[in-house]
Amino acid sequence: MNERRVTLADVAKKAGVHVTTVSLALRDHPRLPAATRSRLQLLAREMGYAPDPFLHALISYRGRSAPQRTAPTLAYLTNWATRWGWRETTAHPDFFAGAKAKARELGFELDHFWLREPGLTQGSLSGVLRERRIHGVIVASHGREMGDALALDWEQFAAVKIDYFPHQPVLHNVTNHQCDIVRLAVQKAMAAGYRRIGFVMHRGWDHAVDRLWSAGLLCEQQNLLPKERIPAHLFPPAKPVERWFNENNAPVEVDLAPFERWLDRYQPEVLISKSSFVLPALKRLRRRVPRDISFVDVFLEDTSGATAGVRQNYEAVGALAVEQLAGQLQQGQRGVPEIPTTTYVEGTWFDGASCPSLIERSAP
Amino acid sequence: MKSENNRRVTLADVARKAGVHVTSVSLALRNHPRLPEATRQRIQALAKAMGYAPDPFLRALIAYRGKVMPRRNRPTLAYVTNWSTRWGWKKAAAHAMFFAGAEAKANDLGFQLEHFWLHEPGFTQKRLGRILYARGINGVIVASHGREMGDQLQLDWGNFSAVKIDYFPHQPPLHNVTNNQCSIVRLAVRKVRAAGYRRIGFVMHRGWDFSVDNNWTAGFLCEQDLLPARDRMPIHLFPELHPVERWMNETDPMPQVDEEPFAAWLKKYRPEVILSKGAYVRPALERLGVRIPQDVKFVDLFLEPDGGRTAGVRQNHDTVGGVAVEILAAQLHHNKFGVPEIPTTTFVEGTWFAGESCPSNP
Repeated sequence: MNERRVTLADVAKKAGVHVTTVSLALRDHPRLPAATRSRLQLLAREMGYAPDPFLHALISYRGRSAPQRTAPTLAYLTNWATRWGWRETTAHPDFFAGAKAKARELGFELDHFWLREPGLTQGSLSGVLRERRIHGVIVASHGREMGDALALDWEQFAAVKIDYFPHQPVLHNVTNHQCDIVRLAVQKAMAAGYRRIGFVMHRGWDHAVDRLWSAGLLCEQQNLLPKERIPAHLFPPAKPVERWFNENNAPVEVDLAPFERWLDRYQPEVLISKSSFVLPALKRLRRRVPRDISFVDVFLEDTSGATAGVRQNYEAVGALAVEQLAGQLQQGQRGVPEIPTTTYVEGTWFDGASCPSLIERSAP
Repeated sequence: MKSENNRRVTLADVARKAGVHVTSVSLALRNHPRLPEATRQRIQALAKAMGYAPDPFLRALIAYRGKVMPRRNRPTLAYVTNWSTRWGWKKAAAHAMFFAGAEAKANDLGFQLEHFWLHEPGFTQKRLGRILYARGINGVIVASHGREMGDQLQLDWGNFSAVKIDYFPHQPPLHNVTNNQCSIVRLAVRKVRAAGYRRIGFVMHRGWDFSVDNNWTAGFLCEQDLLPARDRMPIHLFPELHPVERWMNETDPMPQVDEEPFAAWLKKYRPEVILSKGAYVRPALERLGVRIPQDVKFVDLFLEPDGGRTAGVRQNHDTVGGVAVEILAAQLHHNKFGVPEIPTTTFVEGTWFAGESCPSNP
């Protein structure tokens, strides 16, 4: 190899194809047969071809964008029981807002598609997206009861999933770091002098995040004495499954009687949970926060200092999904990845009056 | 986004309104550290108010014309390690592959990757920052930091985009990429349960678990929680908790279990299958006359696939290195510098391989 840089034209000449074909092959474009792509990729590598990363961007600009003056569109694909049902929940509206803002910042449009739209099927959706020249898809807000597979013509698309559902295909995904968030909460409670730490979580919500709430709690409990470890109070009870599995009918408050039994039996000094799960029940049971029991919210919304807890940064999840998708499009990656990755967004801790430090209180 | 008469708002429009040169607007919108922060914010706010939105492909063109035309060399990314010796990390399989994967991906994307060792004679963290800046290197991969090397890395982060591989150093909290230890051990437990085993033992080096934020422990306990209480056995972490220095400062890339406590754990809990790393337990099992798979089954969580003899999970270390470079390239592309306000962790999944060391339980 002499000093001159190997160009696309050199590769094309050697392969006996047009330079456009080489360019398509190196971007792994699905328009070429897979065999042709791998043959040309191999040849380019043998000849020592390496792209200039910025020239690469120029090629994608000239080749794809110049004729179309409107902002390219990304699809935001949801699969809830109703078109906008996910907007009434925790987290999901913020995922979308974060994705939308980041898309705009990067110069994309973000269009919402509902998989249950009358007349739309998983089969016809690929065609609809192709017709609209949409190559990038965010998969988000899939109800647990909506089936666990999404069959698009994945070769055509770059895709990123928010959260865990559907599990198939295994796409790159982005989500909140539940495991780390509950660990952070337990560590803060321990640092404030608490030893009897109770964790209350919705069974369906734990299931939906691959039980990473449970994982984080169990891991941190290793730092407590065995007699101080309180089992997580998951609600509702394991049976009937439908009561916690179905996203739409699932209760969002603990059942009073089993919750009270658990409180009496284990006597937690502090509860780690979500306000709406436990605060109404605590009120009915006449247990005052923080006089009778301290409280840490791992879905903290009010960061004024009244409540201690972890803010989950949902917008950052949505924004990051768009950033990753833009990167994939930039680098010409499409299809289901061979080795998938999960990107977790950290939570942010806030001190609050609901969980005062026991150490400061007992200090002289 | 369009202005009122439907014409697209351009950089020139923003520049005219702000009374600055168009280059300043371009720098401000790329959040380039060369402009004072106040100026950047003022121009960014103005552009936003005027409804300016970049064309993502045009942005790539600007990046191309503005930065690359004058220089024909491939841009360089720094790969900064902090091991006790310059190349010591290359003897640890995972670390050597992190680098190989990062280097391959860098070449793939048209960068070159250059290794810097923080303990180079005469080097300080401060000096490294100056050298990188002087050489026009603004992308940094932080990797292979020994646990005993201190937990802080102080560069002038505002000048750099950076991604960390693995967990050390913890400060500053940069975006990081690592193997999904939690998911890898969970995958292994699910596979051996599906194969019919119930008494599942897990053996891990205490320092290795510590250095991945106890994510091995987290994953194992989470899956074990689904087993009947009588089948749950405690994790065998070695060496023993005290003295801390023994596991905290482990520099041997191939540590082994202490035979006596390991034998006691085996005898007490009688696992049907052991999840661990071959190098940890195989020599001790051999000395104790415990055969795989006749006496105990074995699943290697650090599998180097050997043609179906050993079952286990291959950790895709080279992908970790590759993903770190991909994330760094995207950050550079969007001109994101400095320590992120909300850091993220990207975990790479492992890949399961069936093997004779853990056959299906009849």
